[in-house]
Amino acid sequence: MPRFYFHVHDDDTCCDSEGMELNDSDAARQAAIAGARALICDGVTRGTVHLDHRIEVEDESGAPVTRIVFRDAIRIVG
Amino acid sequence: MSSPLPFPAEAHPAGRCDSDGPLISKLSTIIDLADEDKAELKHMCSDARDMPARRNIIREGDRPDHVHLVVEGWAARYKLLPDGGRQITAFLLPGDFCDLHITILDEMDHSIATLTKARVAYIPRATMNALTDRARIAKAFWWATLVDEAILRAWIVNIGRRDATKAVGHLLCELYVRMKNIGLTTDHEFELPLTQEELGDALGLTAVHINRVLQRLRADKLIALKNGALQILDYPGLETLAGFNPNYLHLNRQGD
Repeated sequence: MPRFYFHVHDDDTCCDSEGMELNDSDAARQAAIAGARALICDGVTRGTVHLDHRIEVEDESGAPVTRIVFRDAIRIVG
Repeated sequence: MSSPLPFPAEAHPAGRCDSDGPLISKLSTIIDLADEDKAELKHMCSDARDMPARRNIIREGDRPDHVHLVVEGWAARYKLLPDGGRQITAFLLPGDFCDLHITILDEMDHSIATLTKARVAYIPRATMNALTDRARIAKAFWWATLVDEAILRAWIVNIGRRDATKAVGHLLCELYVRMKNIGLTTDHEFELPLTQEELGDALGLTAVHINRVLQRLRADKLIALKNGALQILDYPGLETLAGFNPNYLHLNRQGD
């Protein structure tokens, strides 16, 4: 299975050097969305969410696979 | 999840103990074992088998003929969810019994798999029954079971009541103290062969979140990670951050 790296860009840039083995780029996108939502939840419990933070996913060659901006990972109603 | 095994296929280095072996080393910290007790315990582990990383030792529903003991390497207790998710409910280190309770309970209600290459002792039920007729050994095994329960209580508190940073810090403190107790630390450093996914599955967090938290702990100079080893740079600082109190590991020697 290919390995994908999930770099978090929030107040700092947090590079993922370990990565995760996933079936394909679709699964990587789903994992990035789940990761973004988890980080949003963490922010909510602290009282602040930065919707412009993002996760950038790269493949093993360093090529970009997908990019999830936090505001696109959730639906805000109201 | 399409993978037949619940773990990604990647090997890690295994923990290794010497001298009397990790079980005697662990039990001796709390109880005075007579030489003949030690001989029995060594004999008990004579059927030790090498296993690859990420292989099931025993699965939910199995009715095993043997009790399993980790002699080298790391293993994990886990439950698989219908949606393919996994919750790890314990990390098993050298000297830890996988399934001591099956001497009493017939059927496994969860699964156990190696995380690293491991050496696992297969102990026949009859041997276990004979050993537990010896009062001192029975007490030592009971202690081991009670500590496993205490660890589980600490994990419930950790998952239920600490934020991600504190929860990761707490788990790292616990693993450090347990590894130290079996002689597998040097200064404040030990092999930590866990992936971000495995840490996440133990704490109910995503791998992405674990990565973020580990980076924060590194940036705060509490830990350093390199080549599969964890170094705790500021143990008192990490303990304070996590609210870690090792009392639940019950490592103080018991009176007879």
